[in-house]
Amino acid sequence: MKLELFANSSRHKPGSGVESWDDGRLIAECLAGDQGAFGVLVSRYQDRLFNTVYRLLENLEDAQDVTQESFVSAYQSLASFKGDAQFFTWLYRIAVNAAISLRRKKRATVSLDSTKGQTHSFQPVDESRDTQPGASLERMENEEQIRWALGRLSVEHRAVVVLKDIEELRYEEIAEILKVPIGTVRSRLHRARLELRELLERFEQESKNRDGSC
Amino acid sequence: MLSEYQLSLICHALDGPMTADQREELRTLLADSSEARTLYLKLRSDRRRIRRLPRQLAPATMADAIMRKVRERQVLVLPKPSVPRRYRFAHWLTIAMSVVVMFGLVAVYLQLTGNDRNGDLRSRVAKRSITVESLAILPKAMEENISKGAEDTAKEPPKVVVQLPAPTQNSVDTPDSTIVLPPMSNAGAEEALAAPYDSLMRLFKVEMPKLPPIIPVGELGEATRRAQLMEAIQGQSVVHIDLFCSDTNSCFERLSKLLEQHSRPVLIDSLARLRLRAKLKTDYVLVSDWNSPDELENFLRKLPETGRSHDGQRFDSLVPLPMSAANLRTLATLLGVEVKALKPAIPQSADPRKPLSDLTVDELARSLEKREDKTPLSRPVLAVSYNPVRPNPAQSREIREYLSSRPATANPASILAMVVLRNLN
Repeated sequence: MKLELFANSSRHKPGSGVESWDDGRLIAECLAGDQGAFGVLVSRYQDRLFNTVYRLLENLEDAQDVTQESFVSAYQSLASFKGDAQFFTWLYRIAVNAAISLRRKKRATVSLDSTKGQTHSFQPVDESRDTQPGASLERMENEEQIRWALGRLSVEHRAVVVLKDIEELRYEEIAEILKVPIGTVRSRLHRARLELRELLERFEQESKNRDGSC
Repeated sequence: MLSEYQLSLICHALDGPMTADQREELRTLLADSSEARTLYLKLRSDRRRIRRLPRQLAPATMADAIMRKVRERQVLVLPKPSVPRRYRFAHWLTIAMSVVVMFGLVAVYLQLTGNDRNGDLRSRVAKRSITVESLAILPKAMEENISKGAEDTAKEPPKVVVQLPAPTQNSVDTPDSTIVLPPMSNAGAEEALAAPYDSLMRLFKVEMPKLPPIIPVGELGEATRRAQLMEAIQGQSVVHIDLFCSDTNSCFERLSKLLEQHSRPVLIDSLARLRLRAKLKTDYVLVSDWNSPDELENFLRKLPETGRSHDGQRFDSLVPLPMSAANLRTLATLLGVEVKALKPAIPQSADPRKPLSDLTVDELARSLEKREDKTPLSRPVLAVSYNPVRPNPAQSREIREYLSSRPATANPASILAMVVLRNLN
């Protein structure tokens, strides 16, 4: 993949040490017209960004599209990157905003299509889990619960939880990405945690009820 | 029940750094309240569970896909031109100097053009102006000019003298000067005068394009209209006449009847006949040879008599046009012949200085004998569809018949008329 990535760069060959360059130097190379330098930035941040976007959208295809478009947008507006923030913060801002917009759009579509009076329901745990080892089963169940609960959070709350707990960013960085004050980040995180707790308790209660009825 | 502050304190303990006071408060809260302790542990467990979520890696092809998109869209990163701080003074100084130089150049240009203008005006005034003393001898000169004869005066009409206040810059050189304007033509109302282009208020002639006359068919009986028609067709060997009417099919039938009344049989092409029978909206063209423009004019004068005034299907107007090369090509295409075939050869006039040979006399006698046996040759009129055009005119029997009936040599006064019957709507 990397060979292909650098195929268009005459100046950078694999193993030439370009991967160790810092973001600022790579951006300067990009601005000088070297697309290969941007390839290094892509390979540096693609996994991290993709994971964040995926946790926000819970859909692989959407996450892939949003990540790709975010990188392309970042490249297009690289000249406007002032350098007073970190590159990845700036990149995250583009991607998270795109994901939030897509999420809102989709939610609006779903709310129009969904039936009236629909109760809170969750994806039942895979019935075939009994055949799997216990640890794996527990991990899967945990993942399922968290995914379900995260999916029930509002997109603003979810973004804060994902950036704080999954990406382990600082308040200041989250505030920079979401373009909100630090106090807002704190209050959103506080409400998101309590809401998530309630959702997980409801999930556990419903699981117990299902097991009891069986 | 925990208060909002206690809840925020517990959440804050999970996420951010705490002051010593906050830490002390939390410790007290957790020691005193089992509810707070349980919630803290649960929230910490939730956070741990979220952190244990597997990381989703980007697909292996993503980087390539991104770079491909960048290349496909030909995204260009254009860095903003930035001026380093230490060069900013020089940068602005350069801009200011450029502006000053530009203003200077404009000022020099204006000065130069101003001088030119003054010089030009001065020289014109010197050339064309005359003093009060010389004004006295001007009528004499005009009289001499007029007496030179009508031909000269037609070429160069008398100059008009206008008293104008002297320009201030010429007050020293030419006090009480007058300016003689260039001669103005007095050709009449047909000429238009353009707007003046310079300070001397000179007016120029504009040639008006000559448009073909539009003659209402109902007014063809009037002398002026006939004169207009004759002026348009006189001296032409081929003429194109657009004849407008409200319904071409009924007007065509009426025109055919009128032609037959004038002993001119109409050869209607098969396509035109089909469209006429089906009453389809069609423009027709009638091609006919006439001995002279007068004969054609006499025929056209009968057009108003063909329709009743109240039926609304009368001929509306006609527009005679000299045959352009394009129209001639169109006619040749309609008939499927070469353009030169449409112009029959005009016989050379006999040279009175040469004696008539015996052979010629014999040929003439034989020809006259043949003519006596036969009925006078009828000159048919060909009618074909003009819109739509017949695709293969060479295969039309009527067209072939018409072409064969045309004389090999034509009278110099004869005229070929292409009358296009057009729908008014």
